[in-house]
Amino acid sequence: MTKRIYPAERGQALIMIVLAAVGLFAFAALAIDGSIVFSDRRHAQNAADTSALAAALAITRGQSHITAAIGRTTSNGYNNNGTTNIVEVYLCDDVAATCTALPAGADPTEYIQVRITSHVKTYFARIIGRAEVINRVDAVARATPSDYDEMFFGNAVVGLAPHDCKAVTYQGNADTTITGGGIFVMSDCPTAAFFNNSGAAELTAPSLCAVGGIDYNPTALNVPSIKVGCSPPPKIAEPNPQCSGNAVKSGNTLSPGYWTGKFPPGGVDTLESGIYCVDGDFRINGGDSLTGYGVVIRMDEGVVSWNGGATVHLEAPNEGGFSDLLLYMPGSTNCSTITLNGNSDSTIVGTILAPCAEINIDGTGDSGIEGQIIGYKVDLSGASATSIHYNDEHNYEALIQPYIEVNQ
Amino acid sequence: MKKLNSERGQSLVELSISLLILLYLLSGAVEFGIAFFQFVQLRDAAQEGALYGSMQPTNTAGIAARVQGASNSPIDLADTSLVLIDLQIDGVPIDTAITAGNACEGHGLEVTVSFNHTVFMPFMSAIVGNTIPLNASVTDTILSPPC
Repeated sequence: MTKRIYPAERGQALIMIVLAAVGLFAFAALAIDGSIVFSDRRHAQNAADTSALAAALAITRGQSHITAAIGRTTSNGYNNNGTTNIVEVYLCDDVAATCTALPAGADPTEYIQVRITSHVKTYFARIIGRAEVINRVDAVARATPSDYDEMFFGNAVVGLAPHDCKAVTYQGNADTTITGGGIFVMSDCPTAAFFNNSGAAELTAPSLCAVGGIDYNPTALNVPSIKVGCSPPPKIAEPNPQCSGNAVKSGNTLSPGYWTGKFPPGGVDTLESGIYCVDGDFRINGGDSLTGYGVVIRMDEGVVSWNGGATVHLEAPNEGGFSDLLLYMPGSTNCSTITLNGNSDSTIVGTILAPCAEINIDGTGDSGIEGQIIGYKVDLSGASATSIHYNDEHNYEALIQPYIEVNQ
Repeated sequence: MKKLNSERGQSLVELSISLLILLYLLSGAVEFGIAFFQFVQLRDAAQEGALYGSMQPTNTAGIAARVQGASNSPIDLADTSLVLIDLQIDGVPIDTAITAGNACEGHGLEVTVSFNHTVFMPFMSAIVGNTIPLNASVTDTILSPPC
């Protein structure tokens, strides 16, 4: 017996194969072309990021940012040939720039935008009429050339420890008042700063900002602006005050220069103006007094300990290369402790810069410290009232190192 | 019209032949898909190494460790018998560049990661060979230390 084949069934397999082939090509287009496009986009974004950083670095070095940017995109496969890819480099104040995510108040001339437009040819999608897909990526970097300026955004109290927890603390039973500048905590620890009080004592400051987190008792703080996750400020180049000759004691007076041993030596209550390079402990006991105007004290070795009841009148010079720098502990050589405890008759004017030291402010009386306090860690847990006033006119301006960052 | 007996099963034969071609195409897609995935892995690892090296250009062991630790699948990047890492600064081997004092800001650190993909789909090696060489290269600008 023979079976009749209906004419309608002839070529059925061919139709099925054609339909299957179309489906296969569609999935192949989605999988292969899509993968290539996403891969290119990722690569282009990385190229734009490193190119923007290269451009920012070039600006800080006084070189052409456009040459640097295009050079770096070229080495990553985007050579600005105008056909398969186009690389555009702008300062953000250029008309053609589209820097949409600059921080509030940012100076657009400090920002560089790199835009890569990449034409990715497709292999399968062209069957459905899509011969290429265009990827467009942007990167924005900031370049701040080095300059002499206020340190750490002009905050009055700065803790520089990069990872330590409780880098800045307040646990006192006496009020601490900070004016003219806030508190900045560089640590990225979740409890970078810790604030608690005893009784009704509180810490008053205009602002508090930490790279990491803050653990605080709300009743301990009278701070209108508290922020976490802050961007670290630019690094500074540490100063390098130099002494010439040895310090000489004459009666109750000491002349500037190198000094080894306890500082100031016994019987000295007056420091002549100038730079002192001290290799020994800087101690002022209760009941003692020390006066020095126009002095810079560089602590190469030894602790600083000013006891309560001491009367201290120390002011930094108001001119010269180390203007407004009062007390400096080089971060590379001296990580000793600084304990400051003055009475209400004391006057302390100038910046205290100790990048490696732990600074304890144990009370200053009402007159307080007129300056900026920068330490590895700072503890504000005095038993008597503390007052710190930041005045930009009376603080050392350091060489701020060139600063670059990716913003977008 | 009466169909001849010899035409019976024609669809099956057509489908078999077509399926062979389709499966061959599919195996090619899978082969190249895996190779592409491996290439993306190599490039991500190169990017990781270049990013680290842009801040630590003289720490060649650290750069290599970053590359090798970037991921372990589909390629085990820590397998030094399979994955090769080449470091250059401005086109010069990194050790030479370090000696010459060029491992510093502004120079370009190029990290190249290489791997030979072994073709495993049947009959595919007849067309593309037994291996497909994969080379991923990323160049980042050195940001630190100053020169």
